[in-house]
Amino acid sequence: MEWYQSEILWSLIKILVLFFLIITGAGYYTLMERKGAGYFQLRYGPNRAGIWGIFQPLADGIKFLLKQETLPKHVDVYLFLLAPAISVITAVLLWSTIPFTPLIDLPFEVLGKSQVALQVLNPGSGILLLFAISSLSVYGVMLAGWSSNNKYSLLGAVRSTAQMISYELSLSLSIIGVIMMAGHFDLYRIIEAQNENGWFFLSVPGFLGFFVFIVALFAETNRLPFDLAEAESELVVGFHTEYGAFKFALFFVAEYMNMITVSFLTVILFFGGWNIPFFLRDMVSGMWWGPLVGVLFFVFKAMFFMFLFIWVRWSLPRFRYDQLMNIGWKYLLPMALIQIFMAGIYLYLK
Amino acid sequence: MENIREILFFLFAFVMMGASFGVILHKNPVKSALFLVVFFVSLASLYGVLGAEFLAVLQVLVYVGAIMVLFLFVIMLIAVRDENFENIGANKGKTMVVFLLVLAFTMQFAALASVLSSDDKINTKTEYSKTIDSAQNLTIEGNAEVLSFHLFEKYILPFELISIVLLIGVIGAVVIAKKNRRRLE
Amino acid sequence: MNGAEIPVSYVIVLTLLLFSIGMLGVLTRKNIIVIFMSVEIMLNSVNLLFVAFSRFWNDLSGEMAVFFVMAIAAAEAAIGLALVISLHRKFHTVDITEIKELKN
Repeated sequence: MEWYQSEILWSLIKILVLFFLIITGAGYYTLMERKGAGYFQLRYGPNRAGIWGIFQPLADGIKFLLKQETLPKHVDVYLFLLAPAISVITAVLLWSTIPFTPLIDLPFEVLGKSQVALQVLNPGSGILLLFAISSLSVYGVMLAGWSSNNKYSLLGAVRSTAQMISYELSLSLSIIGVIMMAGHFDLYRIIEAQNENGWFFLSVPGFLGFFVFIVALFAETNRLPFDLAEAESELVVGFHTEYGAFKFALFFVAEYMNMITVSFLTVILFFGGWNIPFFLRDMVSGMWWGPLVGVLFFVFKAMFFMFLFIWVRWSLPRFRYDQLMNIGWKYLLPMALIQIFMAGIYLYLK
Repeated sequence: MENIREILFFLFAFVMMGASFGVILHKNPVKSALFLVVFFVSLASLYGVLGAEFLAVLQVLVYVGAIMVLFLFVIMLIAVRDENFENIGANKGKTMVVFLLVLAFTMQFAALASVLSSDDKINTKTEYSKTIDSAQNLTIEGNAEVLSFHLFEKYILPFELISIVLLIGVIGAVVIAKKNRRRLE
Repeated sequence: MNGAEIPVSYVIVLTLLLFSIGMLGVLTRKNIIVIFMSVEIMLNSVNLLFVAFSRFWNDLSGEMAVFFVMAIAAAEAAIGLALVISLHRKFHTVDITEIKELKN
């Protein structure tokens, strides 16, 4: 075996490709958000940097990089700097567990491999690892709020933490139905199970699970209507009040990265991943480019959910804090539990 | 590359040692809690190194994702001040007794360790597998799967009891932490 | 000899050190929350030993024990922290040397 045939080189290539994708993806997602916001409010949105503002993310990035770095005097320096890093690291780590393609047969052997799948790591405990990583992201918010040594920041962080741990409960319960129906934690096998039996979204427990899942996702990613962490009319901007320049950009980018990742995750869990819907599947079956069409569909389905985040943000007002907690504990949690029960019945009848 | 697991073992072992010293030596409880988070994450990695993948994920999920968040939440809510360590030096006799006690205790473990020679090794590459049905030659593999079979066959009673304990824990926590409204009036 | 092997005695030494550090924390610190965290260190060092021996003997009972300890630790943390909150509400401190009264 030559040196270049090792797993490590392949992993490095995949890491570079996926890292590039998530960075540019997050950048253009911000553009999509601003354009979307513009059209929702009957204005144009960014349209100066290049045609349709296509270079706007680049300009924003350069602006954030060149701004003067400031460090408030009253903060706890190490934790203050650590917090945005934690946010970004967890966001990128989450991204690394998403499988984007099935195993694709390469037409010729590349670096000693004839089959390849675009996924950095495929742990046996798939979805559980994903949830474990995402549970770390709460530390970014918490540390930012605490280390800023500022009332608004701390209040924002405490709110956000309480919100995230309450909704994490519903979020993790809402996928148990899917895991039961697929019979496996592995994301690949979850998609394969949907290839055989149809999308989980179309089954009764799957639909209920999807509803709970998507509502909890909005809370987890701190988006409107649940963005109480940064309720600007009450808390300035919540936990990142003291952050500026690139440190703020990290929080900002992490939020968009998370949204992209969870959009893909929703598609994997409930909408069959790279599964091609309807009669189209028979048309491409057996073709060598079939899997690539599947990937295209995967991205399209994920794009819909990415758009949903924007759509909801610019359509709904913010909930009050007690309303938020009520929804989480009194409605979503029982629904998630019912969903598990229904998944049991579904499996029994099948 | 061959002994990468051994290197990782030492790496995480040292991180854990440092983090646990951080927990007991830092004045600020928030920092202590954060050191404990580092401790738990490296412990989870160590489980991974030893090959117990499912437990590693569970460790992060339960300890880091739930328990430590709760700790930090409580510390932030009640705004704990820094502890002053001056009194510890004043009471040297007591501190010595404590150290001796701990030392005597650790000796017990050291005795246990000395019984095992360095040839007794954990084979981290052992795959998990379990034969469900020997007639049909059905086996399952993977950490989570095999654990689940153990959990729901051999340990079903403890599993159910644990759920009752958790329920009691939830109710107890609510009852204890709730403000006594009647007394306030 | 396969390189992917770790001697059990290393793990035992590690857990013994961690357990002692945890015990030291319990015996010397005064902040009740830090004491609580030191107890968690002790619990987890024992968990590590369970996992190591479970892998050594290739018997999953050890890992099951860790599973149950985790569940108990979760319940224990919830109740313990609830106690800390109610203590703080009553005495306005979490220093165990200042909490002396049984009745007020």
